[in-house]
Amino acid sequence: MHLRECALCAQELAALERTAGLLSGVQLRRPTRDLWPGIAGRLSDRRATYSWWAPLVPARRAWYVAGVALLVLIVAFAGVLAWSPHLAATAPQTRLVAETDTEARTYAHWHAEASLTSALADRYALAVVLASKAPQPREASPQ
Amino acid sequence: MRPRLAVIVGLLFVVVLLGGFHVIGRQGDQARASRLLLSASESGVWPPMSAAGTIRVFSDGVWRETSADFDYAGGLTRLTMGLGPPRTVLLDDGRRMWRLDAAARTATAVGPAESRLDWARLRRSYSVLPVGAQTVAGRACQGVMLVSRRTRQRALAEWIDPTTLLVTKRLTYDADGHLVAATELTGFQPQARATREALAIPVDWHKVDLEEADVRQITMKAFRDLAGYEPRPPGRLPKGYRQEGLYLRSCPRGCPYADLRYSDGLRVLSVYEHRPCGQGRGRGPHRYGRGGGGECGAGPPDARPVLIDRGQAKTVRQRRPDLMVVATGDLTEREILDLVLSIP
Repeated sequence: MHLRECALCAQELAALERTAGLLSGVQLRRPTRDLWPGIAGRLSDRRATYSWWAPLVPARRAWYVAGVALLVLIVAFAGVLAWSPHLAATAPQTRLVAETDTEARTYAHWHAEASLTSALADRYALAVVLASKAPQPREASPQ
Repeated sequence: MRPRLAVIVGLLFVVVLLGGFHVIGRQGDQARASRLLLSASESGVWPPMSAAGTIRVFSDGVWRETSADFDYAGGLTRLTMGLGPPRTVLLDDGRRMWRLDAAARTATAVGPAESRLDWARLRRSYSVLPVGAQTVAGRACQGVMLVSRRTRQRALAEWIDPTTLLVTKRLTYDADGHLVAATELTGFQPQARATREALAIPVDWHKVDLEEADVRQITMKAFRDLAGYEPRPPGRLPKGYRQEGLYLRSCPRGCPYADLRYSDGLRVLSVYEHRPCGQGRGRGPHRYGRGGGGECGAGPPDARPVLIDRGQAKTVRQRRPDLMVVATGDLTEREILDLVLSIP
């Protein structure tokens, strides 16, 4: 009913019937080769090359980033080796004295006495400190 | 790109593998160094030997150096130092150090202390690292170094003769890593100069032992009963330190000094607390006849803690209205200041 009244739709139907008539004479041919295995293979390649760092590192700069990472690793490794305190004994060092005070002798003496409790203390060096006459605490510190 | 990445990954793998081997090898070296250090510290009995050496120590702001003769026999060490005349003669029996006075026929305990080794605590506080072999006094020795886990600074280095387990060289460092003492044997005598019997304190000598010393260990309650106040332990201690005990000292007037003693397994830390004489109990006649010179521990309060650093150990003093607090130990400046300020 509609096709009788609508010229536009009738025209479209006629065009489709013409196309179907043209195709009815054509014999179906199978493709010379199946394309799917190739497509699937390329997709699997893409899946295989995907890495966790791919979103972080642009593909163009992967080489540079890897080089920098290796450099950082080598420097860190060298740093750990250098940090380890395999250091030879150094010469005696002098230092600034924060305050000259006769109390220091008393407390150094007492500390040397107390340090004798340590089995690994240098008992002979402590003996040199203790060999001097033991000072007495001051009566009152002059200000 | 893929082959290049494979090379990079391969290189990284090699580096990690080498690092792993290095770490494993180092742990093995550390274990050997620990065993050597422990054996040497526990040994203490050497074949009869005599040696010459030098002792250098940074104390009272200057370096002091002295030559010394060492005689070893049956666990005893006699040390004759070139300080004097007369030369100072000490006897180390492994537990105590004695000063020998041949004229007075007296042996006096040097310091109210017996040596103790808490190996577990030492290992918690320090790493034991090998520092390679070195010939000391003509003997091939293995070096061992203790490094503080807290400060990452070296604390002690020893070179040990693996055959006799004798320490032939010892370097001591303060908390900042500065060398403060060095003892080194320079040569051995072909024949030992003495036997154990010759080194031991003669039986007819007078021995001034620890019980007669000016300082003795005491309980908190006994100190409170004696002094009338209780020492206040610091609120903040450096990591690894634990209290060893409370000792009693006396000022020239006889007023009690509390000596709270701590250790990290190697180093000793003392916190002295002293009330001005007269505030607590125990005030007595002046022992040295200097009356009228002021009161022990008295004086204007310190506005800020006073730092005294003259070698061996740092001292911080803070005189408060009711209490003088002094801390002495091998700590960094910040640690020792924090400690004193944490005492309530």
